[in-house]
Amino acid sequence: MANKMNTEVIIGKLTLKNPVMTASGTFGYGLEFEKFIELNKLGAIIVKGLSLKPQKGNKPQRIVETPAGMINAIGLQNIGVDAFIKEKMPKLKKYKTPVIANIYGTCSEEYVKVAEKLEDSDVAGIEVNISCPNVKKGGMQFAADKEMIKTIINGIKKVYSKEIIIKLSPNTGNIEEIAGICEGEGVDAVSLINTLVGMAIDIETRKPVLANTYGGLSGPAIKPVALAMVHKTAKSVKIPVIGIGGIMDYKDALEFLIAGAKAVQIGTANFVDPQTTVKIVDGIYKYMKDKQINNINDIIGSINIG
Amino acid sequence: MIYDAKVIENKKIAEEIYWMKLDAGKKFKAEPGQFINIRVADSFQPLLRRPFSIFYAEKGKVEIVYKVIGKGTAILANKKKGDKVNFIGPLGKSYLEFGILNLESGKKIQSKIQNPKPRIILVGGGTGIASLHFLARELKKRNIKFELIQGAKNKQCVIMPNELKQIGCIFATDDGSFGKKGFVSDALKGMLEGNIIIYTCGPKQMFKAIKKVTEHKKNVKVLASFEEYMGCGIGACLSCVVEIDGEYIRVCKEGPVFDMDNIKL
Repeated sequence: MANKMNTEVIIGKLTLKNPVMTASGTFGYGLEFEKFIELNKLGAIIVKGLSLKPQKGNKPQRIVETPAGMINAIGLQNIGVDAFIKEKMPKLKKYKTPVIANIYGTCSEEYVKVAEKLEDSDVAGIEVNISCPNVKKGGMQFAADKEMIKTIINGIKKVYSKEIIIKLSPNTGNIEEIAGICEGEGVDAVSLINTLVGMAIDIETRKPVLANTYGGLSGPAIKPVALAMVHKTAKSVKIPVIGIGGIMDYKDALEFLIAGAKAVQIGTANFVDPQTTVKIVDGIYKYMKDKQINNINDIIGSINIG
Repeated sequence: MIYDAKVIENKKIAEEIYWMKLDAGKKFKAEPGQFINIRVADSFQPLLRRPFSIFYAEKGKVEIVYKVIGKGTAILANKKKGDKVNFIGPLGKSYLEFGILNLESGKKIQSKIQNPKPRIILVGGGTGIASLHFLARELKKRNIKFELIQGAKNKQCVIMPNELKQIGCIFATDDGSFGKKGFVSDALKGMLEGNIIIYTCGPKQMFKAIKKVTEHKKNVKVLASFEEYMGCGIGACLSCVVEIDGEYIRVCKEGPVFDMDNIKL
């Protein structure tokens, strides 16, 4: 009897054909990958973080490889939300895969303005990056400021009616608490983890390798940290948790699903093999077929403890 | 665009410098100035691909010339005949595809090559000679005259002196142990009469020296192939940028060739 494998996952207001998404910042505006993969095969595409005005980004050197990973300080360079809606969205519209816009601001008002502009666009939802500095509060991370997070979420909810995902930082020491706050303010889902703070030093010049000194560590090296945080957070909130961090193949993706993630994002792996995302979709499907698991929800959160 | 190529040959040709020939299969084609992004190991260490200018490509075979400078290139140097080498390519714009630079912001930067029949000079430093070699072979096929200069530290570092002599290359070494003594920019000083396009590739120091020598000459246009630390190599991550007109532009996508006039060195 041939039962069709059901890989659909429901994340808040969205139903995705499978749990595989792309991580913001690693997939451009999606179009750069058109010649490598069939974009329609993905669960969702999350594009580069958008700000109210175009952002120049940081001086080079912007990245450095580290053992089983890399540190990046790109500096959130993007064409701005208006240009994205006008120039990129029309090209992305032809795909069935939902597009989620990652957004950020330098102050809470900017977050709200960007969300407001996206309300009338064709994006299926927004992912809110709170791992950036609040310029009005001396550069303090939004992610570390509980009251500011509530302000941002409530401001966004007044102007944006579709899917709202908050992307959490692993650097605040209280990711579960922040997830709980987001849940309390009524968002659809949380995604974690964003990158870990890291640095590298050139011993000849004695200067930091990155022009920005610090950057975000990503790649296989962070997977165990990400997985633990996803597991803890999935236990502490009822809203969907999207897992991110060092996923290189379908086995890594399955670990996150088993830990409780309803979906996963693939980031750094796209640089190593631009076809990673669809290979993971196929790999999950094959795993389900081999084990005769008909519904992906039977895998999600199925970790055996105790 | 993604190839599992096979090593045909891989050998040391100068001090710390190797030449590798790969069979990528009939479908692979490339233009001078383009590069390939090689996955040097199946493991996650080193993680990122390494980009290399194409030294030559024809009939599905592709050649690179590379210097061993770190973990990735050291692994490459150990590849043997028959080994598999996975690469993405061809990437970047060709030397010959030049004119209007379309920036992501919507800005257009036009590079006017006014001179209808310019003199063409190719200037390569170190492994920078690789992409210029491909350009030289293509110009020769099209019966377009050119001059070719290779700069190197000393005789041990000169790349393929015999092969390049055959296509008219002249050499300059810092210590004079091979060819003229001095930098390529010195050699250039005496060559800048008439309308000229210089295609160049090599270390930033060499670019600075060439810029100094050509800066105030309205009859000289310099098109330089840049190199920056790369992430994805396909335009998605915004790692490999140079600054043009106040914006950061991707070497892997809008480049690697840029009009030297536009770049802050």
